[in-house]
Amino acid sequence: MSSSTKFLTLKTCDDKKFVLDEAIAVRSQTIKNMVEDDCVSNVIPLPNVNSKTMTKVIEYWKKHSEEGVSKDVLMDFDKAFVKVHHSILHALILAANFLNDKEILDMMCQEVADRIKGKTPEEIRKEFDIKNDFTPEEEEEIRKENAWAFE
Amino acid sequence: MEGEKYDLWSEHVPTDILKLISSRLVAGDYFAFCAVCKAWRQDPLPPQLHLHHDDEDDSPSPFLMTLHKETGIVEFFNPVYNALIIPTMVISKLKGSRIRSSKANWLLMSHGNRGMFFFNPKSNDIIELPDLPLIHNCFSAWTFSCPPDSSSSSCFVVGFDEVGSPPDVYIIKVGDTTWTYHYFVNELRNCQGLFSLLGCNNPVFFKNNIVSVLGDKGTLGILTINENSAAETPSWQFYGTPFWRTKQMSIREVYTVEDVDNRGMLAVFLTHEQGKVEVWSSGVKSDVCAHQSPNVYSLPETAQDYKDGKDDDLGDIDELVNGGYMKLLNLDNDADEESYRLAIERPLSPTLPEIQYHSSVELVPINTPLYEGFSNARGTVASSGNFDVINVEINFNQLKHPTIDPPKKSSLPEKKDHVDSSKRLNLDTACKLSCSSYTDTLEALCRSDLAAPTSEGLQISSERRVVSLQDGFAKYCVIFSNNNDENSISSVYHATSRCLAQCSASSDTSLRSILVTLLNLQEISNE
Repeated sequence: MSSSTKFLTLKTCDDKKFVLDEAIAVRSQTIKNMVEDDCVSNVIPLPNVNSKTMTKVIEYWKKHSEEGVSKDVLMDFDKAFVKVHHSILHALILAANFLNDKEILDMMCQEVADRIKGKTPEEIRKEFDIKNDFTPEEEEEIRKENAWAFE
Repeated sequence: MEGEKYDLWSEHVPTDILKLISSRLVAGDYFAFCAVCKAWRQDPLPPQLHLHHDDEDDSPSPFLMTLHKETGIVEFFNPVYNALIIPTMVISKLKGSRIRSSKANWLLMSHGNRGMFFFNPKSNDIIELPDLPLIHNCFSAWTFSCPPDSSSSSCFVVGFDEVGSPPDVYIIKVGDTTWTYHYFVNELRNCQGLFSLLGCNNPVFFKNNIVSVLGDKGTLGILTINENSAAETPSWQFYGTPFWRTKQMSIREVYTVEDVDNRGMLAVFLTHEQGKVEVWSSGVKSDVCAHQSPNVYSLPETAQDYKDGKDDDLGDIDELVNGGYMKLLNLDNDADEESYRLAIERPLSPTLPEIQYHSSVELVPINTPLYEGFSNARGTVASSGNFDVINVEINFNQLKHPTIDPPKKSSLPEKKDHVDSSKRLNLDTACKLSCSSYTDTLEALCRSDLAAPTSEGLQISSERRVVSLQDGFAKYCVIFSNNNDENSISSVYHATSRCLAQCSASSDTSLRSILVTLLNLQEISNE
């Protein structure tokens, strides 16, 4: 048990450095493994995460590590946290995946699912800026396949 | 950056993350997901369908099971994903058997004239029961209390005779060597007249050895097994007021299902009018005492109908009792709405406020075994974590939640379209609760593939998604039997998909539960 707080330095792909309490940083299973395996030198490189995304992730980690935060406050925080443009959502999912933070990953995937729910394929494409890469024939086949779902 | 904009989600999301997302979607939403772009279509089988045998997995996916009587081949259909799963193993014992009832992973089956056994399609275990002391098994309605291999409580199997008033029963406690026959004489006659079963009926076995079964007159019979023994004479009690005669005449079949969430029971009446289905909810709820949050018994668009009486019910026991013990629920079409309205206006049903038996014996005493039974049943079910298909939980409260997506609320004209288009649906499952039916169609399975040319689309997709079952079965099965009336089935799917769309706020589990309920409610239209 070390008495002093240990800090880790995380370096994102755009060369920004984040100094973070180790106790918080190990919310990332990836970082935790590195720490446990003692392969942490001075700086932990995060080649797949940019600083903007990392800022969001750290914001989440810090909030969820605070003591004495009520459930309601956390829920409100989470709600606001996921209300972002889909490109940020995308970046957060990839970051959470890389950092192996199941909590954030689940929350983000749920948010994506929630944004999909109740929409037609076309509306979903709009929501996520996805190009329809089906040929009209393929589309017709898909439509027929599950006609009931699209009516 | 701009160039990347259009493929962020289609090209730059790992497959396992797409799966994480799609696993949170069911039914229509899932299909919409698959139709977005090629990358999202990679894996037509959602993770839930890879029926992994994980006992930790507490998210039961409903499956409709079909048993081909002649071959003993079993098929599982997942209505949520429109996927058909055919296990490779064939159990010879199932040849010529009939499914009588289902609970958790177990089916109660009959074989030949006298044979009875339990079958677990997940493990392929079979538990034999002693032969019935009958020349011919003419008992139409069967049910059992809990999984027969349960170590914590005794499993009773109860069969109801079609005749008898109240019906004669056969009871056995799993482990006993003989069936016990109980018949009842006139002193048990219920005050509203004789109580007999409809030909087609499935009793609901609640906890605490209480079986409830609907009678042909719309009253509820409660059979209590006494002393936890099959040999002890069970007692009958009757609740509710009979339907008016015209109403009685209109009922063709009735199916019941435990309404875990509301601690009561749902009853589905299949009427003689083609495709017409009514869903009633038993109003005998323990909530009255608990003063819990209001139960919403209707789908969102009909919630209004109930608003007036609803909240009062909860605080006012008298009103609940006087108001009758059953309420009509609405499905997704205008016809049902209309029938509710008629039921209110005309004394056709016990919902009627006019029927007030202030002092009569018909009143449901609020501290009856029924009441306790429901309340206890709720407790046990909730804590057991076991969630069988009959004990579905419906989170209607969520439906009423203001976060409902407004655009998904269908307007009435849309509804019409839905009904029409749904006729084209010819889902290959369908069914009717196997528990009871005196028709010979009970062999359960009916893929109505052959039925209509318009079902093409669905067939294609079923075939595409046929997988062989390598690592086991679904945890939960809904067992149904033949059904020739695709209209009703499609309207279930319809109701379901609409329902799903409308309660996007709720969790997957509750969505699935709603689906299961609707399926149960709607298996309905046979013949």
